[in-house]
Amino acid sequence: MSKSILVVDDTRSMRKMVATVLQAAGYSVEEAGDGAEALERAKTRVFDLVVTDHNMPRMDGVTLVRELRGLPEYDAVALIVLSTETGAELKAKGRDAGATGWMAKPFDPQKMLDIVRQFVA
Amino acid sequence: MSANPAKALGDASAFHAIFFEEADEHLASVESLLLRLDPGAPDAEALNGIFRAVHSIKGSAGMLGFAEIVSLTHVFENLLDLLRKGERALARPEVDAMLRAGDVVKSQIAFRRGSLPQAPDMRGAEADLRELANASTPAAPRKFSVRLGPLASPIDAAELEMMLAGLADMGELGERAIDNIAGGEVRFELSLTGAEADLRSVLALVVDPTLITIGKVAEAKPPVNDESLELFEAPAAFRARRGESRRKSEGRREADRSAPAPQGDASSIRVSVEKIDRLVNLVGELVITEAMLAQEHGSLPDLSRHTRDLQEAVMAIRMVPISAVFSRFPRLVRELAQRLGKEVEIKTSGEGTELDRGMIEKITDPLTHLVRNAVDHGMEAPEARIAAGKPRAGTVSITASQRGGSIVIEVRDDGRGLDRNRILARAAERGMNVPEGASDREVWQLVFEAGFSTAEAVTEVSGRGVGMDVVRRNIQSLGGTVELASTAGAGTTVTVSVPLTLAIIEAMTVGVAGKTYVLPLASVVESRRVGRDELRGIAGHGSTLRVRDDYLPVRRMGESGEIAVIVESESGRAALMVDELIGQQQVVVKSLESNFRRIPGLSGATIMGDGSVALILDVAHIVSHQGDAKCKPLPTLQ
Repeated sequence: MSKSILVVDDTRSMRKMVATVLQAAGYSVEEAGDGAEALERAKTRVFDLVVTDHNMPRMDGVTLVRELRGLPEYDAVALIVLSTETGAELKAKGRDAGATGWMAKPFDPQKMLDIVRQFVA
Repeated sequence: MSANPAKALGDASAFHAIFFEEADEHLASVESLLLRLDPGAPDAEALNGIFRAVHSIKGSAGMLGFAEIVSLTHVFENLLDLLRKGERALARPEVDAMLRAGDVVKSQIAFRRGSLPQAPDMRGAEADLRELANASTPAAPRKFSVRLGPLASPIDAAELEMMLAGLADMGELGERAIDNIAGGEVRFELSLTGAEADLRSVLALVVDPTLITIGKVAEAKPPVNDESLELFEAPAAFRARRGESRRKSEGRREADRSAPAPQGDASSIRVSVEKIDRLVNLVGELVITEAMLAQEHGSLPDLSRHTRDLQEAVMAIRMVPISAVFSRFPRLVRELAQRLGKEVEIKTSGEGTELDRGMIEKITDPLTHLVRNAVDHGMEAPEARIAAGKPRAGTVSITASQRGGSIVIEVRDDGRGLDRNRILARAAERGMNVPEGASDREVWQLVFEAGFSTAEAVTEVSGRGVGMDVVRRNIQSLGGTVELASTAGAGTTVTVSVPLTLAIIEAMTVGVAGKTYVLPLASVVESRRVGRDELRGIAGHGSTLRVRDDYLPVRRMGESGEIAVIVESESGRAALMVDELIGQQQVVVKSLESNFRRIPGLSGATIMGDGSVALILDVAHIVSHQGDAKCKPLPTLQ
């Protein structure tokens, strides 16, 4: 069975781009439009990896990471933030919340795939 | 930043359509939020909403390689960031600059989409934003490390001291290591906002330029393996930890798997209009099938109820909140008022009222016209308002509500109201017959007559010729009505009522030569039996029927027919002769164009309860095609 990845972004076009790149690489992808929706989905099944935007309505990416790390099932799931925001302070918050990595948008699809491959067993 | 994400995405154009649609939505919401912002006390949530929308556009535009959009939205975002952090006060120029920037992004998207021949010039809008964003924020200071040396001879101590003091004034002087001897070096760190060249020219006053070495000091950052990527945990360490964690949680996960997974939240999805229309059609068929079954086997109450529920549920999918139309009015009113030197506030309510998507498209123009009229003709200039003891700023309120199967939209202004005497004078000028002592209501009706306009001057805004008659015709063609109420000095209210949907109409069915035809009920004025002797031939006009003071052209449907149905369309009235009146019912409109082909004189078809096809007559066409009134056979399907 292919590995499952949850892609979280409130921008539909961005979400589609990320999802398409991952799907083309053979992953099974689910999408969520904000952190709150992602959290709900994450509770219904355990994904093998989560790629999330930061700046979103209802629940932002860093908060989502913190919430997910609070779930025992997500203790060892890679959570990657994909954001146009790359300020050191915000990244530090992401790391403290439990993010596995922080990737800048616009992103290089090939590079994203390389990272994803390393963290999805 | 990576090489070119747009290329690496493969066929990036596959995402263009999504991006364009999404950007349009974002820009519309940016505009409506901007127009609602109170410059004195901007709502933090609104500013955040605008920021997010602009931010989203920038992100996707970056992926798709739309550099101009990225560059403008980037500055836009900078200004918004200052505003939402309270580092810059929001005032009119900021709102205006942001509105303009939104427009430019909109045209840029139109250009990219191919609906605009030329790329818009984005520089003006960008410069305005940049100016506003920079006015309050100094550029971020940069840290330089300066090395002067090796020195051929020591620098004069007083001179060095002065230079350092001067530099300390310019920026912030950090660590220094002064070895002011021949062969020694003076080293220090300095944070300042100027450019390296400025710093160099200051230092050159003291030492030979060839001895100056300036390096940039990187801000203290955790080690990064790449600018665009930072890993907080090495992959190998992560995998080791995961192995550990998996073993621990094995048991627990097993237990979890046996429990059924609860379903996630129902979130919204996008569906193309064609798919929905297909569904609407299929349900239409089902309604007909149900009617046929009922005719053959007697009524089946459950089936009938479920069918009707299903029909309603499907129609509800096509429903769109009227805010889609209302959202354009704040800007329209604002710009109009500005142009006319008036002060007008706009209030909208009932934006959540839903109506059929097709209807939304069709009422936009008439409503826009009414709002324009209210500001242009209805509203007085501020001085005139004050002189009349009214508040300086006028109010236009637009409300929508559902009443039964109709949506009622009211456009109300507190302006000068209609001038009865002027309307009567204008009517006399145009040779209209107005009875003495006509009620206000009757007088207001004159406004809807073709070519009637009382505006003293033709204004750029409302123009000439296109008046209330066009509004009424448009609304009538949708099966709706327009009414007008006005009080001199206190304002005017125009009430528009339209049916919820265009897919189902209230209809009158009539029989002609054994065939059933359908007339939209909205276009039927009255019907009555007429004797042959009531019909008069008028030279050049065929036969006519006298109805009160009017002579209406007669449309004869076949040979017989003693019942006249008076129908009305945008081009006038006519008496349609038919054999029998069958009844009134709702019919599901089917397009002839998409199912068969376009036939002049018919606006569509419907399927009757007995399975037969009945044609829906195009009243406008029948009324206006006068020449062959004598014996024009009704159109039929061959």
